[in-house]
Amino acid sequence: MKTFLSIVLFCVSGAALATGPRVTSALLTPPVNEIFALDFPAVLSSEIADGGIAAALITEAFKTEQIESTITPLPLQTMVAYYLTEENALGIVGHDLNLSPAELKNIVLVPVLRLKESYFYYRPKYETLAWKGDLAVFKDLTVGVNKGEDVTTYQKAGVKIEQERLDARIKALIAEKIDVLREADLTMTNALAKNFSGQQANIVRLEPSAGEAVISIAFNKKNPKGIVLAKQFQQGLAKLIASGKYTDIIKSHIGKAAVEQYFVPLKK
Amino acid sequence: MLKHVVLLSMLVTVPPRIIADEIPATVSPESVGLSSLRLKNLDALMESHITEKKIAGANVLIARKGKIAYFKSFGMADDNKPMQRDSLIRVMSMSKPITSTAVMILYEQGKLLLSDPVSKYIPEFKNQKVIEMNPNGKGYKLVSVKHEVTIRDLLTHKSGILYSFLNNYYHEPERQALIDLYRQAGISDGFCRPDETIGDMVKRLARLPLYKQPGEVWDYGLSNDVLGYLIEVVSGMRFDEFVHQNIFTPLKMTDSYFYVPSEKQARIAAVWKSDWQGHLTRTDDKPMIDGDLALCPFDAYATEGKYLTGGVNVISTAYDYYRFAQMLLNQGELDGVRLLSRKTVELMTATNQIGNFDATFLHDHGWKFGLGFAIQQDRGHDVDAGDVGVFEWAGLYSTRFSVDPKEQKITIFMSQTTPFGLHFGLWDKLLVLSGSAIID
Repeated sequence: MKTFLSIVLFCVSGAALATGPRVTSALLTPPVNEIFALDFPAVLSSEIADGGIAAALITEAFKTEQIESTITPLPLQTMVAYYLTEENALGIVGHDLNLSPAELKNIVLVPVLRLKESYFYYRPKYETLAWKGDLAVFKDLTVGVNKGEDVTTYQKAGVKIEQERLDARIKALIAEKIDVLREADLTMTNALAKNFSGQQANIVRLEPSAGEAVISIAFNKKNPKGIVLAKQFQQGLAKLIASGKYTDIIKSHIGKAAVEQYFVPLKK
Repeated sequence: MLKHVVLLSMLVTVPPRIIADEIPATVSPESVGLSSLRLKNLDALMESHITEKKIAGANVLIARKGKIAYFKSFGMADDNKPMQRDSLIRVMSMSKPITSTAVMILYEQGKLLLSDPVSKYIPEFKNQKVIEMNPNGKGYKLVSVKHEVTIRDLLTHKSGILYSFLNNYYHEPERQALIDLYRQAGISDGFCRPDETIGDMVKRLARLPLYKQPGEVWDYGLSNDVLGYLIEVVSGMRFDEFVHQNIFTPLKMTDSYFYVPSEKQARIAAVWKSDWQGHLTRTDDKPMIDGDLALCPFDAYATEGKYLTGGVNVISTAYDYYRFAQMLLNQGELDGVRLLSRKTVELMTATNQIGNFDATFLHDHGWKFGLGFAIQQDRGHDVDAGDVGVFEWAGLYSTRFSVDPKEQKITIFMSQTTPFGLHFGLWDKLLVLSGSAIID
């Protein structure tokens, strides 16, 4: 057995590197059940050690059904879409995935996490904004939203839209190039603390909440494993919620007190 | 009385100019085998460029046999401020050899191997893809790497990681498609410092495709920025702290910084825009955008910041950079302090690192790229630095250094002029004049 393993290792290492036989980790650990995820700071990101809350929940839900999985965060929606449509990936994760009606027919969408979202404004520009839940208040103003977000409701309300990465939207808010931005509360709190700590007091969250960002997995029906794993994942997720482990995972990332502040419960 | 008032008001309003630690006096050129008379040709060359308003100012330093034989300042550093020998200069890509040296220090400490895949230290580099255009010209596909990007690939620019600004000059579909992805993902060349850590940027970059298969390309890019973050991961220290502790402090480069402290800000030279036809203007505090090139010379006035790029971050002086170059010329040692071994410097300056590619980006055929700089391999081409084995690199605001191991000669030119591409003739002439001053 030892000899066999040595031969295998020798064979796979030959073409690895010019400097000598090297067994690269990529050659020995091809991703199992790889799911491509759109970066969503604070909850799903390559910048967080374990990939973030959403990645941990997905991995654990699969694990409950004895299924291994690999979450690969990507920084761009175009790349995530590429893997779904061009590489026939098992699935993709994110919110505002911007899938076409044809693409929607070929996926099984499973919500994983619901985050509270709000509008934020820059106090030096506006003392307050009369937001009561109706977009008409923002008529003729410019709202910064996520790339890929459906903007038809804004357009109907006569609201101008800028779609950019979060850091760029925050900078635009501070530079008074946009008037309001919409983002998940947790993501915004994290971004302000990390990169805009000097401006935290100037960026104000509007009440009531703007809605919610739902992070979902889109299982690909065209992938041979897509439908089966979607079912197993749903079962695993239901067990995770029922056992309380789902909430425990969230608590372990952000603390018990913050769960209600940032999340909407996911139904069993 | 009026004179006293003027003098007093000057004392009150002019910020104190903290001068550099003493720079050693230049030696007689003849004592190191250089001709004083012939070096005067350099004065004339530089003065003509100032008079004709091709550049605002510059420092020129020539050393031989471990001694500085010529060190002169020409023209202006800023409005109403003459260039001085201790003027602080954005050395931009001349930061790269410093970053490479930092990597080689860790290599000598046994903390990494050049053959290590980068993913060993930065997991986001695992399972990378390479962009390939579809044969019908519509869209691209992503194919797996044949081998993972290694530390050596980064040091030699064989990683397939690009600079966005070169998209202005090289027009290919793959490059365009990849730079579009860079733009969407907020990948910065670092010439305008983003408000994030280098680690955040590098982790995003790692998830984007490569331009070509690692090892099968030579393309100048953000590889040194990745190395800066890799140094943080391997050493457990902030990149700037590692460089200060292991390079700037031991080499007594007391005027070299990632962010210049407030007491030395007055010494920072301004960047000047020149068409080399007599139109010379000082740049202001607005970003200069030209296609995929974004420059923010005013970033140098920040006294602190998060972004620490291994590609272009360092601000230094001609004398400090001379000390760094002399360490390399001495094969790793300066004034009794050894940073690298002779064997490692030999490896860094070996000419067989990039296979059949030539380092034509700043030089020509007949030039190769080692672990941090271009190296002249033969003398049969248009760009000639005077000897086989000469190693050099440059910075985007028209700065240069050249080390000639055979003649034990170092030539440094530091201006702050944009655009970059117009100073090549002046630099080539400087090298000819410094070489032709050799009389032994």
